[in-house]
Amino acid sequence: MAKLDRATPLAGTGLERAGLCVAENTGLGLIRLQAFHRRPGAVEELTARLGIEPPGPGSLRSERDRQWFWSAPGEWLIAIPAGTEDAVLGALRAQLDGLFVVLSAITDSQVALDITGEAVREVLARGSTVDFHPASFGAGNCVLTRFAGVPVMLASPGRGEQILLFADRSLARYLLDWFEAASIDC
Amino acid sequence: MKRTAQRLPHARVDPGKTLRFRFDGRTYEGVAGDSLASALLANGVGVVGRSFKLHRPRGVFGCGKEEANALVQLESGGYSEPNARATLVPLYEGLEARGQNAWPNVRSDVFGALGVFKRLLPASFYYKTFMWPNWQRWEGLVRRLAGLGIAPTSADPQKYLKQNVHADVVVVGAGRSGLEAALATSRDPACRVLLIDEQEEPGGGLLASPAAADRSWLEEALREVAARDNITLLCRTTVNGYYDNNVLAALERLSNHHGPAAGGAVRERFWRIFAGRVVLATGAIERPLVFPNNDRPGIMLASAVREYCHRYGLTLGERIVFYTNNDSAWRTALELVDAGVPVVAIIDLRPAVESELRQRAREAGIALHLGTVVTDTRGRSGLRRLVLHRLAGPGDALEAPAGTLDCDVLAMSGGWTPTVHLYSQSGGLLAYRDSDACFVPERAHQAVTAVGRANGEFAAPLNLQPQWLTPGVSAEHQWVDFQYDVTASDIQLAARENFVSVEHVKRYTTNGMSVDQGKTSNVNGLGILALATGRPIPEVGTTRFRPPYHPTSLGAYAGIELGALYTPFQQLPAHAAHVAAGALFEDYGAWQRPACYPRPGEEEEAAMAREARAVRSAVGLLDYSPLGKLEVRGPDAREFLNRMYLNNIRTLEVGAARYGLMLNEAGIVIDDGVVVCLARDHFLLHTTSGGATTIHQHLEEWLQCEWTDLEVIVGNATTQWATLMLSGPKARAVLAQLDGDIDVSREAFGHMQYREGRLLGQPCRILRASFTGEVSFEISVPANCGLSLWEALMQAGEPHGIVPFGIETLMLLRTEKGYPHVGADTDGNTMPQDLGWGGAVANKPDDFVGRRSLSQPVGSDPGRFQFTGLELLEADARTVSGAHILTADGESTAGYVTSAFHSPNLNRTVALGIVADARDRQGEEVTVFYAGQRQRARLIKPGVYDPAGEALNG
Repeated sequence: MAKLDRATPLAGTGLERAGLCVAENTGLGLIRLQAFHRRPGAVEELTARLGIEPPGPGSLRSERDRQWFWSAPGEWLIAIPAGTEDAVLGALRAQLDGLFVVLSAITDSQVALDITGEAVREVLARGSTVDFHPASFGAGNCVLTRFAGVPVMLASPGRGEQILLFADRSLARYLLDWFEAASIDC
Repeated sequence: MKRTAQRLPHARVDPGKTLRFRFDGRTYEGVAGDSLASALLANGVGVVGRSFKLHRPRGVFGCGKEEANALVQLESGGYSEPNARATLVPLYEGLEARGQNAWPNVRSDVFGALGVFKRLLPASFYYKTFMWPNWQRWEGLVRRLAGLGIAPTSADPQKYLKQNVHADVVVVGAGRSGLEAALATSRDPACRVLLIDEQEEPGGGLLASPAAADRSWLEEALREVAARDNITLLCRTTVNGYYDNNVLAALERLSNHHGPAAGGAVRERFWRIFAGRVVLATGAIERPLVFPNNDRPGIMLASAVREYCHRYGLTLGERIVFYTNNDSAWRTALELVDAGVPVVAIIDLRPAVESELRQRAREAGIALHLGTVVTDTRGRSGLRRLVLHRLAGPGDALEAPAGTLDCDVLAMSGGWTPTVHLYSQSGGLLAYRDSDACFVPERAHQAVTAVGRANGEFAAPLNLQPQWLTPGVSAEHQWVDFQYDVTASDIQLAARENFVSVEHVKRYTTNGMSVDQGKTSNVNGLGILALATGRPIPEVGTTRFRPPYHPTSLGAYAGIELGALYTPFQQLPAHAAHVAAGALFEDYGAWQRPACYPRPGEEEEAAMAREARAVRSAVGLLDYSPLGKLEVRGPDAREFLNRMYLNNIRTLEVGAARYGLMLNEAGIVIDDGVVVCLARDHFLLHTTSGGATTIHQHLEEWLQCEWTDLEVIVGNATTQWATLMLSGPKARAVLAQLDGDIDVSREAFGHMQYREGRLLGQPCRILRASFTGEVSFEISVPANCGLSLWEALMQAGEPHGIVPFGIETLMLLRTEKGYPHVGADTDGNTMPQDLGWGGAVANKPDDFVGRRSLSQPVGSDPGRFQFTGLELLEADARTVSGAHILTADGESTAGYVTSAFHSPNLNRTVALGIVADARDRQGEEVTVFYAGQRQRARLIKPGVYDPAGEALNG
């Protein structure tokens, strides 16, 4: 064997029902940006260097082919096309040179699920106490929450009723099984 | 009770659609729209159950959730449901039900004779009688004689779901008041309104109204509700609990009305509702009157007689008599006469009643008996006759007999009790309203409002004259709680025995307990208690209402969290390979990890022995991915870790690794692991497997709360990397076969060293540490490559005899080596000195978390449990984790065995433990106690395999 093969947590399996589809999104690369936000002015300096303002709590922001998700104070998840992690990391490191930030590729640690269908919000509300009504959780919102008993990030990127779920890769099978059981009436 | 083939016009049933069902072994027919209770009544079934204690025959008494008698065992097998209220069970084709607490059936129950012994079975009978020799001796007999339904023993094949929902306004009850509230609040289109009703269809009390105006109002209101996008209507849904922060719990019955024919459809949905404001429009429940033998089949609530007439089209009797203390029953009686129901008399204990009502009743041909009470009832299995007496005055003794009155149905009304259960659960205070003799909401504790009859707003004055029990006759057979067979004399007995608190009386007599939670008995019960203790009712007070308002299926509480989804599980990157290799999976925290890989026909211990021998003699491969991986970076990272670990991190060089113990503030060991220095300001912490999240939080707490000046960032990279442990004398040879740029030779890559590079085209991190005592490489690659690396290493290792090994085998190997496992070989008191790390503490020049606590006297107390090896002295002796080490006198515990395995490499048991003062008692003999057996053992230095550690550098 000359090279190691890559296999995503669900290896392309998913769930398809009339009212709900859950599909592994294998096209995303993920980068975590952590800034030392306790130092006064650190986030402002970061903003100035990036040329964009990273999104605030509970929100996401799309910029070119990057999506920024707020994930903690001074911390963001950046979704990019899979396979471009090294290039984006290099570019960001150059851009932020001299600032105390930590950039890590975390693509392999996560599973990304695209959840679609007319029952998507109803099913999501079976796993979390977040208010998923479009008036409260619409395009541009993201939330870190306990879902089906495990920590996840849920985001509404704004493409119709599509919801994006990020969770630890080790939970991928559990979450898919959970969606299958929770959507039995969909 | 009359058999009614024809239904009255305007009823909300479809007489054209017949449904067949069975009750107590007989087949009957009902119609679409019937409840089981209405269908039984339509068939003239008078006795539908037997009472809890005395097995008295009981008939349908109410029409809804207040029903106390018509409890049935619904269906069978996995679909069986005990204590289903026949009044709440919508009839469906093929329904099967049985009466409860009766043998062979409710019609001819052999235990029916128990009623004769009523005097011998008062409240507290159980407590006073079954004291010798103990309750358990009697329990079997009592359970057979008394009780309700039978819990199903088969698995429930039906599905249940849980659902969360948020709403600005939640309206509970879709009767007139609830519909008005929902329509008013939903005028603001941004206001999300959730309207919930427990009946099969919305309308509440309007469903039982014969008035055309009421019916058209309801139709119009429901049209409007349907037209508003911001109203969600949930029917067949009972709000069962009201909790803090305006959170409500409700149960929606999705397919119960189809019975087992619903197959795999979701049966019930359990809602958790987050409400901005709650409007309780839960109506009121009519109260029974308390008089001798008031539990006879045919004696019903007046409101129930009304509802069976107008909603189900049933004329229940040929001679219906009303018995009341208030005006509402008069209006009901007149309404029924208008519908053609034969009401022959009204008995009212009040000496005077409004002249207009009297006039109208006389015009309707109803005989009136004012100032009169019922002092007995007659009839074997159904009501036949009433015995009447005139009252001297309100609450006074009886004046004179007033003859008897033949009837087959008695419709009674003792007033109305607003349904304040949810209001009370929300923390709201109730006040007693004397004029209506009921408790009404007084002061809200949360954002909740009660409206309509739930708030004591009755359509017309009741002009009620309370009578809590019938005076001048024995209280022995005056039933208060029909379900639990509690009579007025039971409450009087409790008062005589000095029970004062209403809460105590409730439990002593069981009044208001059981599945109806006193919906019809509470107020009467406390009225009787007030009389018996000479106190006004407000002083007696009412019991606190608690969830659930109505019984809830356990399946609904479980939802989908059953079987494999009982708790979340985590899977390894190479999970598929482990499955293919026949792994025996066990749960380690949430992780599903191979314990070992038994071959066909091989026992677990044999598999572990085979794997352990292979690791010692050749090479083994373990999926070690859950190993914690925290990356700590920043100019102050080194200083930070030096404060967090007992060990000296200041001197750790780049590319080197060091074992470390982490303590909490109390000096207790909470984690051990390996700290790797990746760069001057960049460290990798390998925490205990499964402990990464906890330790990450521990580090963040110190950074965010205590040392905010330290410039450090911590990131959890545990699952970014798949980590495989290659261990054994041939590990190096196997790894060297794979294409990579890291020199793994003995000279280039020593023990406790770390290297980064590329392996088979992927980034790779390799640490040489060992938990087996053999040469080990902990190889990490991006997690998505974990499966592929597993396959590559197994392939490369094949010529060397590689075997996969599991966690239990690893535990065996490290026990042979005497390596402690924090959490297994430590407890909540273990300090570093108990593990032999006292010298390291003394030698460290800097302060660290927990250090101050180590110098407290408790740290040097005699009798501390200390880590030790244990050698069993008898040949072939075995022991287990958890076995006790006894004190010298053999009377108490002086420690435990914490790890114990049969070592295939040494061919004897190897064990570790924590034992009092073990470090100063090496060589002493102790007694090991487990499951009644005592064994001799010696305290020895941990680590009996390769004590010199030569294999580590092989």
